[in-house]
Amino acid sequence: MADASELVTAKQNSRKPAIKLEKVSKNYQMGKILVPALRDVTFEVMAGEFIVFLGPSGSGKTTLLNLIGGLDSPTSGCIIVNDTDITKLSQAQLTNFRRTQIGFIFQFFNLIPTLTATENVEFAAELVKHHRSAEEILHEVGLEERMKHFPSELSGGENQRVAIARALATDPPILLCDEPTGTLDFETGKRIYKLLRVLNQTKGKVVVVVTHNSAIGTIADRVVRLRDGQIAETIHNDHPMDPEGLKW
Amino acid sequence: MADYWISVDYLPLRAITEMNDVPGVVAQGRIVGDVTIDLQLETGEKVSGRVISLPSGEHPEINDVRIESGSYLAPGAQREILLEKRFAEYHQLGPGDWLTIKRDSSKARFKIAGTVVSPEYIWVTKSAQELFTSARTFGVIFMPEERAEGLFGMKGMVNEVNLVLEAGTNPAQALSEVSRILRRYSIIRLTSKDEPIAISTRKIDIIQGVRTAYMIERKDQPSNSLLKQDVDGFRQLAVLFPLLFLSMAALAIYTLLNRLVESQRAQIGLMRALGYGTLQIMFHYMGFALVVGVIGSVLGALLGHAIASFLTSVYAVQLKLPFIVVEPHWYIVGLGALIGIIVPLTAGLLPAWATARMRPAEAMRPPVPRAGHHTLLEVLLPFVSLLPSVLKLPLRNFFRNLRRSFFMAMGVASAIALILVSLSLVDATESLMYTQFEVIQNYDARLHFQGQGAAATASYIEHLQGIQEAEPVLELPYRLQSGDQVADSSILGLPQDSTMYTLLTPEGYPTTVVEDGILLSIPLKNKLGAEPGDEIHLEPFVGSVGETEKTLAGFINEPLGGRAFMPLEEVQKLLRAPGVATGVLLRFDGEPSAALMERLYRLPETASIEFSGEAKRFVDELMGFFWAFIGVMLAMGFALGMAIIFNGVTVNVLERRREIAIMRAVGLSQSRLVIILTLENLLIGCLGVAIGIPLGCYIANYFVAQAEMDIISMTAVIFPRSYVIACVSALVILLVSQIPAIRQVSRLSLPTATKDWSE
Ligand SMILES: Nc1ncnc2c1ncn2[C@@H]1O[C@H](COP(=O)(O)OP(=O)(O)OP(=O)(O)O)[C@@H](O)[C@H]1O
Ligand SMILES: [Mg+2]
Repeated sequence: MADASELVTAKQNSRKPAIKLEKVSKNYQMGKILVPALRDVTFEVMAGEFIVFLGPSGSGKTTLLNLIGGLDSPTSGCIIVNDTDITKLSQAQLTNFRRTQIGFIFQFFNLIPTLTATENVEFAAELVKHHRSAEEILHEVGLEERMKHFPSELSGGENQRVAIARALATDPPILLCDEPTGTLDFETGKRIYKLLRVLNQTKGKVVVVVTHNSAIGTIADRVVRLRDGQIAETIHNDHPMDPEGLKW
Repeated sequence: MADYWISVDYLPLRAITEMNDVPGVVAQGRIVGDVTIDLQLETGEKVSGRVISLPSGEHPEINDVRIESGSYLAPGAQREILLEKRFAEYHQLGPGDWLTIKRDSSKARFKIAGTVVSPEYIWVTKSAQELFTSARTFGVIFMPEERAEGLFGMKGMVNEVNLVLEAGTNPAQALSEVSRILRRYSIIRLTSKDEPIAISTRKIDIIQGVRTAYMIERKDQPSNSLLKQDVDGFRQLAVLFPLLFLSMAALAIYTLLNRLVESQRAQIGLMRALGYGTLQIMFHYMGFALVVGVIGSVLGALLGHAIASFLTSVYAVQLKLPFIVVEPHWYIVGLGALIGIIVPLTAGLLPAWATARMRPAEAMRPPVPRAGHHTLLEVLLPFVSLLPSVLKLPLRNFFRNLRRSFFMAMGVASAIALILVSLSLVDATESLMYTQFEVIQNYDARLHFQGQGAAATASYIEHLQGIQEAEPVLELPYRLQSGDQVADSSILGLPQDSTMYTLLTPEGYPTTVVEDGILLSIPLKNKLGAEPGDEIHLEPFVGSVGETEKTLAGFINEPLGGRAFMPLEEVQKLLRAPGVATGVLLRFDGEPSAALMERLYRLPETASIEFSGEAKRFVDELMGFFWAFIGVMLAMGFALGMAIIFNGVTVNVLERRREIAIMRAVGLSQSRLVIILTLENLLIGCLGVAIGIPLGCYIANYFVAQAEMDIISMTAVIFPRSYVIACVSALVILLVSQIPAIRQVSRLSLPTATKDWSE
């Protein structure tokens, strides 16, 4: 069966780590107070893996994603993404890294208000040579009716889907999703997770989702629990649930 | 200083005593006459002088002089004189030096007792007709009464009466008393500038040989009226320029604050959502705007006063005024402060009010691009999408925020307009000087005769070694009248085929004098309001012959002067004196030799020789204040333009911090970001240029039209280089201005900036 063979390749790929964090710490300096957001975090994300980080508010989830995505640099430790230590990259190299390796879906959609849905996607797409057509991706996320709308004319869920489409535009191997369904209703949220799962399974994309919603953990290959900037627990899901069955 | 100057041919001193008996009138008689000053240099250089009599030993009651060095005429002194300061300085003469004065064939040496300044000669000028008199060729000499009587052969007589009316005296009544006294001394008529006598009366006067007196009021006294015109000319500019600056500054402040409050839309929405009332929000922003306005106005007023003091001192140095007073004009300061406060207040309050009235939910969202879906961009969309994204983004930003783009472009446009207007004054002045001294005056020097001489002298001079060409000219002071408009000026008689004095039409084409008509310069045209074909009545100031009517044949563009032009022979005919001239225009073969100059000075007719270069330098010097004024305006234009553009660009970039952070987070490289922002700013800059150039031209034309004076007619000129300077500097300022803002956004912390909406 086609599905089975795909699963096999996924499992073979999983030998190789796509993302590797070694003793990563991040402190924020708030005047004289040092706020530790992450403390000595070490883990690996395998190629083709769908991983969910769970944690309460303030546990360091966004900080973690920003570090992996090269938006921020750790106070100590190293971050290796597809064999490159990104903590050693220059700003220009980091920009190139973000452009080619990472698709970012922010907690707050972060769309450009003066560009329409299509243009927002196009803007990201045109940053790389071989990119997908904006219309096609918007079709994929079910926004074919809203392509000419500005962000302020779209609902939260629609905006989030535009943001996902933008993340997909450069066809990156890694998708970093910060609370992608936090602002969405249950049905829309489910649709988005289905989409992410399909992308993970058919295209082999590494998907990293951070959320405080533990229900999401059920659909992941692996769940990592964060507490106070540290990994509290790691759970392997041998039989992740189909997002269709999600409930919260 | 006197209120009235009455010139007569001669009048016994008794008449002055009688005038002093008129209640409210203080009269003083004196002798005023023109002489030649022999400077006794190697070349025998001769220049013109004006002698004015003074009582020796005591200062006169009216028209007193102020001693600058040396002392006043000693009592009973016979061989002493006082010399006007500027002439003395030019020729390095001082107390103790000797000066030779010639009149007709008599010659006398005088010792200089002191140098003085006179209120009548603050602007040293020979007459209302010869305004641009250089300190080299004209000096004013104050001489004891007794000596002047001897020199001019007027024992017991005077030829000028100065009147001062005591406060509360009715001028009409006092003057009619004075003219009654004059009549008793057989001076039948007292005419003045403002009341031209009827032509028929004048004809009868001439036939009957009637003696007349001519009176000028203080406001028409040449030095006084020139100063007034000068000051008035500047007053126009001095009002217009600040007005321009204030409106541009108002626009800039408005845009800045407007945008600032606009960018806080989300906060305003939140405040409303939390339950703040519209009024509370308004107060919040009002306080802010008030602080900005008050601080700005106070700083502005102080700076303005400093500049005003500087300019006044330049003017004083220019005219060698002995002292100056700089007083702040409180109403101007007040007006500036008022604008400085009101503009920020409205600029802050309007958007705050508009936002506060919005539903909070709406305010908290980012605004929908105002232009919406119906911009030019949408029409062009198919083409735009084919462009690379570095071009697409700036185009989109530009069109999607047309209102913002337009505001910014207006900022650039006003900067360009400011710079252009300031530069246009430089250009207009430069072109004025060029036209006058390079195009019109084709001669190297003008030899002035003492009174009238023979035109044939020109052909004699022409044959001298070192002279290339010489042309006789005949210039006479004349009163011109058209309808009931009168202008006092002079008529310059030029040879038909003059190569030395190029007449230009107002359009700038060369033309020649018209055989049976008269040509008027633009200032005369404006004063008389005459049209070609009108009859102009001409009446000489001097002598009783020469009165006539001439048809107005056209207009002449003569930037400096304001004269009328006729063929030489026609003017000679008018005077019934064929073959006379008042001077010769000269062109030298290279540098004139000392021997040549000596021969020229030794001609019996020669009164003085005026070099074109010297006259030009003199006018340049007179324009000193103007240049200082232009300099300050130019500097302020640049500074304000810079401030406006800098504000605009900085706000334009910083306002979109978050947007820029997102682009960077998604993977836009720094260099591309710079290109995109630069292109967008350049696009705005181009729109600014497109608006700014016509705006600047319009304002420049308007300004020059306002700066019109009696003797100087300016034409609005903007050299191509000025357009280039204005546009290039605006664009350079634009590009440089964005550097700090771009630097700041490139240091943005991406995690912070991408976190949420409220920054
Ligand atoms: N720029 C910053 N300066 C100081 N402290 C910060 C900064 N950003 C985050 N923190 C602190 O670091 C910790 C982790 O923040 P982070 O944003 O990663 O939390 P999170 O897990 O994403 O929370 P949430 O689920 O609410 O988004 C928090 O305690 C926060 O206060
Ligand atoms: Mg977070």
